[in-house]
Amino acid sequence: MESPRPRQAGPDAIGATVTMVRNPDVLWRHTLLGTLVLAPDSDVPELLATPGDAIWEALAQPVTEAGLVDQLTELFGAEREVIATDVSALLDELRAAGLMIDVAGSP
Amino acid sequence: MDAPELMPAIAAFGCATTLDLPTEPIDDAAFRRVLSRAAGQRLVGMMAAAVAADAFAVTDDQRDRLAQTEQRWAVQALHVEQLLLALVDVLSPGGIEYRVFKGPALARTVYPDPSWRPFADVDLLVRGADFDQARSLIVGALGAEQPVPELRPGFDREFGKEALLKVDGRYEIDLHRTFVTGPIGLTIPLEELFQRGSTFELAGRELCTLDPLHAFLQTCINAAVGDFPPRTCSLRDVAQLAPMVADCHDEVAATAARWRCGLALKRALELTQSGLGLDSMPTIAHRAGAVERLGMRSYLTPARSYTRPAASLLAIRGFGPRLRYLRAIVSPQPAYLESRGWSRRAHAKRALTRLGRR
Repeated sequence: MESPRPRQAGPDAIGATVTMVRNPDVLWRHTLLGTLVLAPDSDVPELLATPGDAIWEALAQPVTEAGLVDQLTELFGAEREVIATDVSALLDELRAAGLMIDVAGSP
Repeated sequence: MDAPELMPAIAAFGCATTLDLPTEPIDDAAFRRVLSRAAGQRLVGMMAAAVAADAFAVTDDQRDRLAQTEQRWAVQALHVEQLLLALVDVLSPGGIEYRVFKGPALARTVYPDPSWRPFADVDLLVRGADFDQARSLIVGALGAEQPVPELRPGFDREFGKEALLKVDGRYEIDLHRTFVTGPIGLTIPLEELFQRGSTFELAGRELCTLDPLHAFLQTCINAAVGDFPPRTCSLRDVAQLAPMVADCHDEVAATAARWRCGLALKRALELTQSGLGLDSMPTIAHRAGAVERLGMRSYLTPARSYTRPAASLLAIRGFGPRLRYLRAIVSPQPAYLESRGWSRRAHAKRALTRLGRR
């Protein structure tokens, strides 16, 4: 999880209105290297390396993917498209690992 | 600045202290010694926090080394928290009330961030009446093992401080009946600890912990008589909890008097203020009686493994219980001696030698 794989989907291709949040059952710790997370059914903690751990911080509150991209674009001052691609890939991994849950679907 | 000298300054990071952290990187050999000692003193989290805040100057290599060490402790803490959740799942359906205390509870209740307070095991308090059932449930459900059996059957639930249980040979559960061996542990009215309490959240679950006043007294007892010398981290625990009881010093004093731990409280506050170079710590008035003074002295002698049990006899009420306690100390069951690698004769010789040194 330290090197999120790039994904082709851009900001327009994503479910921008799906709201996501951290899985509250996940155990986690801040460290100098980033945020260490342990999913409920896992024995192996994963490192969300800095600056990827900013996504974990943002997921403390329910947020849409578009909202997340906005927050991180402002935080890092990078191009929105680049951020969107990285965010999308990492969200896929977080969801697959049970670290994040969708709390509301598209209306 | 050498490793021992730096520990108090690391432990006091974020407090109003007279102690200074390095403003220039120390050499690599010294840094390795500091890091090793900080790990032993459970200070890696505070050291990392100080480095992250640029309050402790390090080189890039030193930062990397610290980060790797911190990572190992963080992994351990997550696994221990996972074990704690499993423990609660085992005990709660059995109707066993518990209090999580020490590292796992303090990290989540009194520190700015849980990462500041590393820990390596679970400390869980249950009632003496529930002790055997709790142990059986943990052994049965989690496959835990107790490497050192109790002194004699029934000793732990009546007089013991704790039973050490190991899960997967790696993770330790200290299942407590009381906070400390010896007279203080036997004097605390343990039911009080279950009449009030507090909670903290862990992975979306609400876990039970000690009431802040009880947690404060527990940390003071631990700092004053738990380890020799006290772990620097234990002093920081006292400093972290002190503000939480700032508005109830009279109640602290009254409870400490009832628990006969006023001298331990006084010693902990003095050690914390001097050890961490703090501007101020509360002073709590206490007049100790002869029994408490004797009890306190029993913790501070080189032969404390034996003077504590001797002083415990003063804290135990009733002829029958005293006799049972004495019998267990003088003549432990063979399984206990075997687990320690001692013969009955070696046990007696060791006791006499230590007492002679006193």
